[in-house]
Amino acid sequence: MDVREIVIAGVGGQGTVFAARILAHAALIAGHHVAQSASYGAEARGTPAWAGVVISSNPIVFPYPQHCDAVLALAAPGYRLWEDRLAPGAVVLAEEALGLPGIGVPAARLAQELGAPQAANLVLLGALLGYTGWLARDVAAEAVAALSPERFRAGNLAALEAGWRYGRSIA
Amino acid sequence: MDERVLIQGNEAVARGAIHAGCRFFAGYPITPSSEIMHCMARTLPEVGGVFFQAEDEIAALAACVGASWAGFKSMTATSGPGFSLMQEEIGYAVMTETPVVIVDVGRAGPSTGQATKPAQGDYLQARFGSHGDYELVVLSAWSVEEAYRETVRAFNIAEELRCPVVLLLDEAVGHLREDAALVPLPVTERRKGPLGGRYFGPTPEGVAPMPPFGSGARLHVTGSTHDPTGRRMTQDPRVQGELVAWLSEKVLGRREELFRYEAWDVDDAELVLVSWGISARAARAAQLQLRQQGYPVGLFRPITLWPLAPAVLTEVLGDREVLVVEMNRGQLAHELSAMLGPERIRTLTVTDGRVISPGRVAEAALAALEGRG
Amino acid sequence: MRAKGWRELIREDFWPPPFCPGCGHGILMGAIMRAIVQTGLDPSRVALVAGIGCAGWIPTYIACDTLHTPHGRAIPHAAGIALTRPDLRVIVIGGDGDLSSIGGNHLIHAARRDLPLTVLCANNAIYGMTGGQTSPTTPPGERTATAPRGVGERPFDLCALVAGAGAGFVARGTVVRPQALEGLLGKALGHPGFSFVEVLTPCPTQVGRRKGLSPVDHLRTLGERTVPLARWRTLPSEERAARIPVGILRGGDEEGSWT
Repeated sequence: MDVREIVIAGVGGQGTVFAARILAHAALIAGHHVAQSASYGAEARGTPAWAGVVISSNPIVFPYPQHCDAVLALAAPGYRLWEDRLAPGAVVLAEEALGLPGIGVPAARLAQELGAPQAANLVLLGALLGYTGWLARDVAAEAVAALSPERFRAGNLAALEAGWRYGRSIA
Repeated sequence: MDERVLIQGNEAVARGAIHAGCRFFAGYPITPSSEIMHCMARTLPEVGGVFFQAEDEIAALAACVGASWAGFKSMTATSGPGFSLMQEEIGYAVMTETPVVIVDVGRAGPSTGQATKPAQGDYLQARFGSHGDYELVVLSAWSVEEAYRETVRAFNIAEELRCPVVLLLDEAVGHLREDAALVPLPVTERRKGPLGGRYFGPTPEGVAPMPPFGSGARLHVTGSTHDPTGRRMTQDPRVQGELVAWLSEKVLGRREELFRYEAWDVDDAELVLVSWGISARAARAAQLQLRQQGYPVGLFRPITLWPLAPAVLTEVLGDREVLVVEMNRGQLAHELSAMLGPERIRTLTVTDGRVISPGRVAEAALAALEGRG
Repeated sequence: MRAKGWRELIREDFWPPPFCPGCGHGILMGAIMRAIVQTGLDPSRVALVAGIGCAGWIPTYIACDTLHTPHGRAIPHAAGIALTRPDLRVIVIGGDGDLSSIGGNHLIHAARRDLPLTVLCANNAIYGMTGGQTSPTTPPGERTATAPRGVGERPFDLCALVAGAGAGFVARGTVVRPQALEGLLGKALGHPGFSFVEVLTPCPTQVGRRKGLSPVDHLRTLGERTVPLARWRTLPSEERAARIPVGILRGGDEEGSWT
């Protein structure tokens, strides 16, 4: 694929980095080159946080998103850092309750209904892949299975799937 | 294609170290290098190695030097504040000709600065940080895969030259996760004999063998001025002069083979970007874009940061204009000015704790091209 | 192979050692050599590690593997050797300034970790090599180059310090009683974990000369001030305060308080 730059934005503790790692791992399984970066702060929780993923079929020169092809917004503070760095036609999928511009996704509610409240990040990720088709559903599931701790695996897989279906439904 | 894995820069350093035969790691917790320590703590016991969390960075490097004399290839990893503490021991490793690898994952300083933000401000410290006259080897990496490769090379050089080797990373490369092929690379083993009584330079044969403690050599290893047998010679001007010259010349004498670099589109360039580490990825992105737009811009990327090889620089760069791009206030530029003359050196320096963007490099390159005309 | 006699432990190439007349470090050096012989250690399997200071020169003249490190840093270097090479017996030798001031943090952590090291501190209560400055063990009231009106700080009791940090074997000896010292060193070398021996020793150049004490009187004074732990316990408390107990303070048969 051409270069895709994706940012997952929120606040610390929402699993932005984890979702980015899943996405990066899925891209690797799919045979792409990939670079995953993140904002690191000494404070783990509550501060603006983001993680970036650059995917390409060629070796990646600059490993950070510059003009995002997609932003997944879990919380407003992280999103604000990226809202003026969107590529033309960028996909913004935001937690519906935030009221941010872009496509609202009821990520928190869907995760809650699945009994996996920690997995709103993966609902949004699933929604992105369902909506864009950038990566196949099964490689994403493989990445979730590979990186999730045992006790969260089933819930995470279900969240990804629910998100994917939602994304398909609005595509 | 080689099998590629998704791995973080800091983890790749640890993988490189294990591959190179590192069997002792001592460190002290510090952001943004701690993942190297975590990885070594997990891995070393599985391969017959020893992990040690020291009481401070001075002790960490000291323990590495002790373990090196005990026959174990050793490494520590830190960031700026810890690197400052290690300078005393770097001088000791130089003076005692002890192979050891020090990884400095650069963060924005001075002092505590921004612990989680990248910078390249430790370059001159890596070269000059300890007291007295000496030389050591400083390497860099611009990618996760290169972090692995240069870690292995750091160990090999440390063994060949019996000196400390610094691998300068930065927070950006250290924390970046990307696909990398961690392929087997040649490994230099410790030369432990023969037990001929001369274990320190200068010797006519070059770098002396280093038998480990316990092998019957009854070594005396001292940070005081010493002759090739290890005898303290703290009053003799000839011994002092020859030892200091030896410690430097054994490194500088190999500068051309030590100097690893990459260059793109330099031959017909009117402006050459010079950049290292993560900055060079922004420079490369900018250079590619400028070339597509028809601008005569090349890129030169030193991987070995010290010693630089003036002959190579002159040959590759010719008399072209140079724009040095780095995340400090012009530290590599300082060296290049001394080697190539200050007139042709321009700089783009960023010290705000962020990775330089390709856009800023392109702007600076265009300004340099225009200013030249 | 074990040494047949202590003379085998002299590093003849480097001989003679540089200690001042009347210095106790030569006595300590001899006691270390004899203790290595008597405990049956193979000198090729003994690593001696020192920092900087007069006592740091002791290993230079002993024919084992020896590492002469920067000031204060002997213990972490020794840790690197001891952790990787359990087949080697690692002995650290340093002075009071080296081990308890600039190297004090390393000392307490080595004790806490129970590293397999024997640490010998030649305590002359002064910085000798650099010109007689106050050390962490200089007694209050003493005049030094950096306390010309007398030291106003409290000194460390080094044995209490390392015992507090968890050392399993703690002893105090003096160069005035070399045979007893040799016995303490032998016991320390036989202890599997962290062992510490404080060795009280005179500095005739920086302390004795300043006080007008001849080397012999200096040794005699030291001898009079120190009493074996068992006898020290029988003394009335006011007399105890004036005397320094010596012997095995922890890890021997006579466990109990010595402070």
